[in-house]
Amino acid sequence: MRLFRLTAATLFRRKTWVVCAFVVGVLPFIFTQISSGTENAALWKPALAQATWAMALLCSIFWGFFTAAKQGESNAKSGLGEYFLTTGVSAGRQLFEMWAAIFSFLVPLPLISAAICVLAASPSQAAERTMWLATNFQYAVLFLVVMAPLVALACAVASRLGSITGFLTSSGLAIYGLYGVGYLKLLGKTGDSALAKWLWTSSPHYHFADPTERLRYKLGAIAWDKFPLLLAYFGGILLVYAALSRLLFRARATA
Amino acid sequence: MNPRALMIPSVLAVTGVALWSYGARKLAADGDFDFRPNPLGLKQSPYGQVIALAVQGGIDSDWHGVESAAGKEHYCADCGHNHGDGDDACKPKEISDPDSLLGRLETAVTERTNPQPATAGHKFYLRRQVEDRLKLAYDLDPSNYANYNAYHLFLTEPSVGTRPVITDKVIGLAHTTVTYCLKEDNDPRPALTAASATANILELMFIHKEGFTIEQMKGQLEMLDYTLSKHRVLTSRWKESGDLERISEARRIEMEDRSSFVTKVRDAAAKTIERLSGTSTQISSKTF
Repeated sequence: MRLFRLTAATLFRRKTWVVCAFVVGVLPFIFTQISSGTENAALWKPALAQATWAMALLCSIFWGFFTAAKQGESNAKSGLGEYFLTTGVSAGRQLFEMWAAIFSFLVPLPLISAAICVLAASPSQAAERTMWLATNFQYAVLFLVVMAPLVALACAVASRLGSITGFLTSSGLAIYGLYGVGYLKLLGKTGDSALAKWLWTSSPHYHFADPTERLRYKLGAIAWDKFPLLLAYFGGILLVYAALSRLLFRARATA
Repeated sequence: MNPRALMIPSVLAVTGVALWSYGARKLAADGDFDFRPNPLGLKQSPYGQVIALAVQGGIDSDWHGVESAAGKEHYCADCGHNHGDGDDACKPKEISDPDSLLGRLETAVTERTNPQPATAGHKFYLRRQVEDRLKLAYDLDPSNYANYNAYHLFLTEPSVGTRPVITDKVIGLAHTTVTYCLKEDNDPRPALTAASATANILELMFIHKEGFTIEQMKGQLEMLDYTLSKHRVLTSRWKESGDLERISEARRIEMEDRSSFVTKVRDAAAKTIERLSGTSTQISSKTF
């Protein structure tokens, strides 16, 4: 696991993770001051919950995927990947170790968000509080299942096509899945065209993993009998992206 | 890559596609795929309410642009815009220090120097821009009194709106607004928006009185009374808890003005219904 340790140490020394920790852990409290929570006290907690999860999403999309793309590119271009190949670490193993290092910096983000929601923005009624806990736990899990393969994809695409392409591929897919598919449905009137319907159905519907609205309206936890279906859905996407990443990844600049 | 190394990705891909399509088919069948896109959950959120207020400023200046593009030549000394006949349309622009460098720069970039009046098509385009922004402001915060009423005006008034809609849709919008606003159990202001929306429904009923019964009108009047009483209850609750102090003096006065206005509209509507039920359809809707 030398590449894992090297990547983790590099990211740690680069210190940009401090910005993410601040954005997810502190900034939401400041954001509530520019929400209508200042006028209507009942809205302060929903505003905090919404802001912290939104910031976790944005940090993963912008910082997480950018970091993954940067590492993927530099591994291939700097000769590091080639060095590890000569020491017997296969390309697949290299991708896994880099992914694990970057992902370990992303794992705390949803956990911080969930902790803020539970500790600072919990509903006052006891019954709702249990649901709130479950909802936050579910979304932390979904968040990680969604982000994990996109990190690997950013890393793999960047190793072959450069960091800008790698970053844009993953962040584009994430933003498309979170919001774009909804607009696609509105734009395309998908009932009319089989192709548009197929495109819409086969798009990654990441909005299922976006808790901002569910938390704000206190809709309660996702029904536990439906949760495995969501896990299977995102698990399927994870496997496809994992396979794609493995095929795209290369450890040295010249194939 | 040798064939053995290809095995793992292939197995992963096949399993993944199977799971993905199974999940997608199940979720699509349940209708879970249908959702209203709402980036970062901003619409109808505590942040959306603030952004909706900020959008109002932009709408003001857009509308000023539409006004200033009017055909008759009358250039305002204060802002350099062409206001046509309507001198009242212009409020001198508040440039804090007009002689400072920034003040002069602001004047330089905002004054209209084009002597040609805007074409009808251009004015239509500008009005559509305003309408789209109003819709956005409404979507961000349907419970905002100004946003709802301005959007309602654009939908019902053919001289300003660019997409005339049938009365049913306007009434539908008002009903949606009432339902949304009545969910709020703390802030007294959304109840006023609900009252205003109910008054709008009543006004449309009076205009198209042949399509509605007196009972339906009375039902709406009861709803109007309910929304106003909810507003009063929530206001007194906020007064007791001290929460009313959280909102600025200007907003408090604005709320009181709107409350007394809607109350007057309610009284006028009650009289109209009384007359309509007494002397049937001969009473003109103008009494409202």
